[in-house]
Amino acid sequence: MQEAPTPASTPSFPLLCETCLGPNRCVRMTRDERGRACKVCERPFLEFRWKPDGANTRHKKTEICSTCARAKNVCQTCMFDLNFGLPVAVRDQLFGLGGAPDAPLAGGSTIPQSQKMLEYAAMKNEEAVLDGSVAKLYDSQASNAPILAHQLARRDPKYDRNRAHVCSFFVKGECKRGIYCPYRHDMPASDKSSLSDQKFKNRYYGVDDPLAANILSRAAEKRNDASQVTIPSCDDNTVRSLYVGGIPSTCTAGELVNTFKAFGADSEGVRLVSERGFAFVDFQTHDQASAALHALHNRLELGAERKRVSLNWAKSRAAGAKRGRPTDSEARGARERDPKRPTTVPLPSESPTQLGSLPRKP
Amino acid sequence: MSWRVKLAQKTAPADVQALQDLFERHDAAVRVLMEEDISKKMRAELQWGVHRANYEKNRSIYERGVSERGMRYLVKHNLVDAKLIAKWKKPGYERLCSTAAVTTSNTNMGTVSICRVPLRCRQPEQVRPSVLTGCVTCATEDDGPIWWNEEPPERVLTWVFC
Repeated sequence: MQEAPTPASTPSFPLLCETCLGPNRCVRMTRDERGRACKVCERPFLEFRWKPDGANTRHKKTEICSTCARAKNVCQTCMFDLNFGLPVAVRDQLFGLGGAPDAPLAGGSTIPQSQKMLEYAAMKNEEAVLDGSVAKLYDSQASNAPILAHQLARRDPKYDRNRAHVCSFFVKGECKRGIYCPYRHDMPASDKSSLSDQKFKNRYYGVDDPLAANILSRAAEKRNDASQVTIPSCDDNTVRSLYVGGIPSTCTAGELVNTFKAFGADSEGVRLVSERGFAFVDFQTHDQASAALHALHNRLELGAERKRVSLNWAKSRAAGAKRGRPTDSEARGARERDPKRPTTVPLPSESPTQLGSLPRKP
Repeated sequence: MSWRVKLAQKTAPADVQALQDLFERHDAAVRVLMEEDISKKMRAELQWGVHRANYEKNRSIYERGVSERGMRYLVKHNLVDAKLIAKWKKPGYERLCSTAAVTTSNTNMGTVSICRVPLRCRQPEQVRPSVLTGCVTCATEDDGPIWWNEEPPERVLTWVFC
């Protein structure tokens, strides 16, 4: 049986961005030869594992092998560009490395599907890395970057990605570990559904990357480039309200009514919260709301200063109410209201194995 | 089971024979461990019960006290965890939960277990049971060991929420 090939060019320290390493440069790492399969080329590689400094961080490990990382000049864990911290799709488009101009997010290569293509792509990457051509390609990027690259790049590290993952038991109200639970007792961000469904290979090859699409869309909005802007869609046909955000204080409810009257809203359907600068506009049908959104997205300007406001579908009231983090007493209340659960908490018995419930103190 | 044979022998000292109830209590604890439902338990948690039961048994024998001759008998016939009791006689290790907690080959970084660190020296997110033994703290100054399945006492909670 042939032994699985490992990347030839494996250095002694992983290729990582500053954010993934954490704010403290002193970290202890373990290394595991051929510990895991690379998430992109699926070959076994030298896996490093460390815990970034900070409160409630998790252990992080290298997800892709050093060859794959070098081929795209990305961090081995988060797969963002090492120079700018941008997704591969965005970086490639900015530097013209990606696909055709009319399909910028398609990427220069398609994702290899078959085993043979996977191995072939890996072999090609190895050659490119070993003969230094990728190093030459990316070395010049830092100094010859278009202005937009610097504008889109994150300047300060955002260490949110190093936090512990959300406790799935807590989300269901079943976490018995209480204060000892190493996972985060938060509700997951529910509104960003496409962002929570990311795949390693998509992000690496720059194909169908929702985060990249977001970044490019926001960049296009700034540049008024209508072809790049994606108008948010809503699958739920019962929703017939829009959310208007960033409204300046000089804008009145009357101005909003005048704007949306043409699309089918009336004065009762407009609810403006001027202190917080947002409004909800109700229409009679979903299609009317959709028409208003398509017509005015990224174009509506309100108030004396003609400030461009953001438009989006309105989330339902119930979803909005749940968006905040539930306190532990609320979560516990939700647990206690469940008729299937016993209402009395069992006392820890003398036996050393009885696991009493450990309620998290508020 | 073989402890009954050892205790019943004529060569067993009297104070060792008097420890019978402690051995029986340990047997009962182990039986509970074997019969418990493991489907809802974490993989590491399955071992914690063993460490705790071992601690409780040896601690009860240590605290009741036996003569030197009795202790020699117990050690010779493997009726107690001699290494653990030896540690309890050393300063700083008086409340050690298990010898596994101080075996550096058990950890990734070649350290001792987190439960050996006093609570006042830990960050709030480090106030957790050790993965190996299930002990939250066995430092002498913390009046340990405090186990994962006990209600966390006030002196633990103060270090979690500071």
